[in-house]
Amino acid sequence: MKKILLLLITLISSLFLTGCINYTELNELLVVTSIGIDYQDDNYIVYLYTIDSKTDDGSIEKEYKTLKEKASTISEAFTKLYQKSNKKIYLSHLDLLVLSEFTLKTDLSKVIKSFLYDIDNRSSFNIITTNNIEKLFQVDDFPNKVTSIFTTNQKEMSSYTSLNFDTFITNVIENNTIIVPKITVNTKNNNQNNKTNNENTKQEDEEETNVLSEEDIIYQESIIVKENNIEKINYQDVIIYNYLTNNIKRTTINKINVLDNYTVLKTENNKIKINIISNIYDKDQKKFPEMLKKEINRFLDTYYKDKKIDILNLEKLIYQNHYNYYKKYQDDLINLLDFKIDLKVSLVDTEVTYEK
Amino acid sequence: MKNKYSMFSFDTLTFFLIASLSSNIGYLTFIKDTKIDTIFLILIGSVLGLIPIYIYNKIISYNEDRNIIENIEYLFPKINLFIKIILIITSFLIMCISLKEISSFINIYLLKNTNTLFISSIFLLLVLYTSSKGINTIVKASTICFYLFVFINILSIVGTINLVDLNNLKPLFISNKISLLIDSVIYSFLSTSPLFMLSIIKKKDLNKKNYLKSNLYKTYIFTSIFIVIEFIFTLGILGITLLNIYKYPAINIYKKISFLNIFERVESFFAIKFLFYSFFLISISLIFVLHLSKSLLKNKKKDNLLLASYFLLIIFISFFCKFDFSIYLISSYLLGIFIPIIIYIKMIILSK
Repeated sequence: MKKILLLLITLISSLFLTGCINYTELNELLVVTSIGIDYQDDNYIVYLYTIDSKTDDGSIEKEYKTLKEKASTISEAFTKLYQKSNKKIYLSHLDLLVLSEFTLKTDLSKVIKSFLYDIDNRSSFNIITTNNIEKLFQVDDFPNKVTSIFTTNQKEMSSYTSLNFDTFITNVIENNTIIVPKITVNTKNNNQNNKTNNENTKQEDEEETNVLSEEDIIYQESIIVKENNIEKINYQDVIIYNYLTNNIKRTTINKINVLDNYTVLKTENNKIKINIISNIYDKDQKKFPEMLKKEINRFLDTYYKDKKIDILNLEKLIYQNHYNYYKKYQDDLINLLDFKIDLKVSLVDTEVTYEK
Repeated sequence: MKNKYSMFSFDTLTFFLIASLSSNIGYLTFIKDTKIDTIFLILIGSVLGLIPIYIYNKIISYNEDRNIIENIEYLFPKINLFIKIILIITSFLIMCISLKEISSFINIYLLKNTNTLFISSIFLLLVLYTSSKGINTIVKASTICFYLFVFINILSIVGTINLVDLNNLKPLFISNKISLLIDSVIYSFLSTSPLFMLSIIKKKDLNKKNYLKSNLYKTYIFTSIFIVIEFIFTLGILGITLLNIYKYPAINIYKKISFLNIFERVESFFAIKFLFYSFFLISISLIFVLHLSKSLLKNKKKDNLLLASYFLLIIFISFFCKFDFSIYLISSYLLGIFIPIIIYIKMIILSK
């Protein structure tokens, strides 16, 4: 009798405890690979870039779709999107969060909250910004294209700094400087093409202006966000930033190839010691050290002396390593920083030596 | 002839009971005050926790043929009823709070659309069934679960060791020293109080009973080191800011585990270790409460009726009542410090 009762309880529980109630058909899920958040006229505009698959004569085709809704809060916009699509918004495959420059100037904690309560998302998605969210979301499979642009940049030029959600939350709450990579959507080429091609009908013209390709999305610069203010940082400065934060794989600075690099930042109260070991070709060894030191000094002067932006988050480093000093001088710390650069060059022989 | 419990099984059960704090209220409660110095809080608290361990050992070893209930009846012939009632209420509250915590954890992370009441009921049924079989079953189950637990932890360490950033472990020594000391004392009795319920086992029922004292200390020290390492890992990966935000930061760390891009999205599997903690804590609490209740009622034939009534009462209290951290604190203090000290003092007085 007891065994029968136990068996019954086990069978009934298996219906509820295996997550069967949670079960959702794949075609009832809105699989989101990218989310865009814009802020205009006191309203949030949320874009969802979704991926769907359909079978066509035995082969599976991917179908990309962009949904857009406007509301006074982000969660309200998500609710409207759910009602519009009639599918559960599934963020487990979220790869990219695109925030417009206007959004970056608002209270970012509201952006964070809308993702924190969703258990499905992995917190490992990257964050970028763009000049035109609407156009970016029209590019076919843009999340993968953006990721491949960044991967290529990082491998070949080390001119890209990744920003994942966990780092974003930490920097927003701690009020640190955030560097957000920016994708520029280039619509000028499309407009020029349309002007020269007079044989197109009006309808074809309109279609052409809406179609963007991979060549129209480029990575040229990043954005610095600090206390709701934004500042641009160009390509070259991002390379120097990566140099100082030990994120260089391969790069080129002023036509000199750097093959590898190791940087250590040490703090001693307000003194910042930057120890750099770079791998370069033998032929560049004479001009490289002076050139790099000049670039680093220019970078540090621009951001620390002129713009007063703690771009390397050195205040946090001093807080972690020299708490007592930080506590005493925290209000004026940026003006007290004193940099010392120690550069060592490690030479890589080339196969061919050419002497005139 | 009754089977004796092996020392290793007893140690694994002890391990789960000490570590259960991290799944209940959790040592993360202290982070808001002591921040990164929580590392020292756990270390100091673990050293202070050796005092209650000493007292529990003395109580278990007082008479090999008697368990705690028989000892209370012997030492306090007049007020044993009062002491038993306090013990029932405190262990009952700890049980309800643990059940509520684990049910809400399962509901949030594993079974989102399943009612918490249903989750609590099924979990409690499992505990009731295991407890009805006696301590022997629970002790054996803890041995099996321990091997799985070790496997899970080795995998999680291997999968996340490259994510640790040592800068997240700074700055140290910045929190208020007095609040650090007070919180260490609180931690010491929160982590050791479940062990008092092990005194329901008679010393003569333990295999190699002469090693009880040394094993208790060794297991406690081993578990404390494990908790410190686990905390350092968690802090090193997430940092203090994220640790303050996430209620179960371990789950967020498990989300990052990826072996060869094949073994991914495994946080549900790793979450099983929280189930182990709660299962053994609630099981031992239930057995403790059952034995105390039987001694009060003095009727052994009403086992099933007692189990059924406790089932309904636990479900009702854990589902409908709201618990504060202070209730868990007071219950742990009464169960783990106040009552044992009274028993110990009486033991010393009688021995003279």
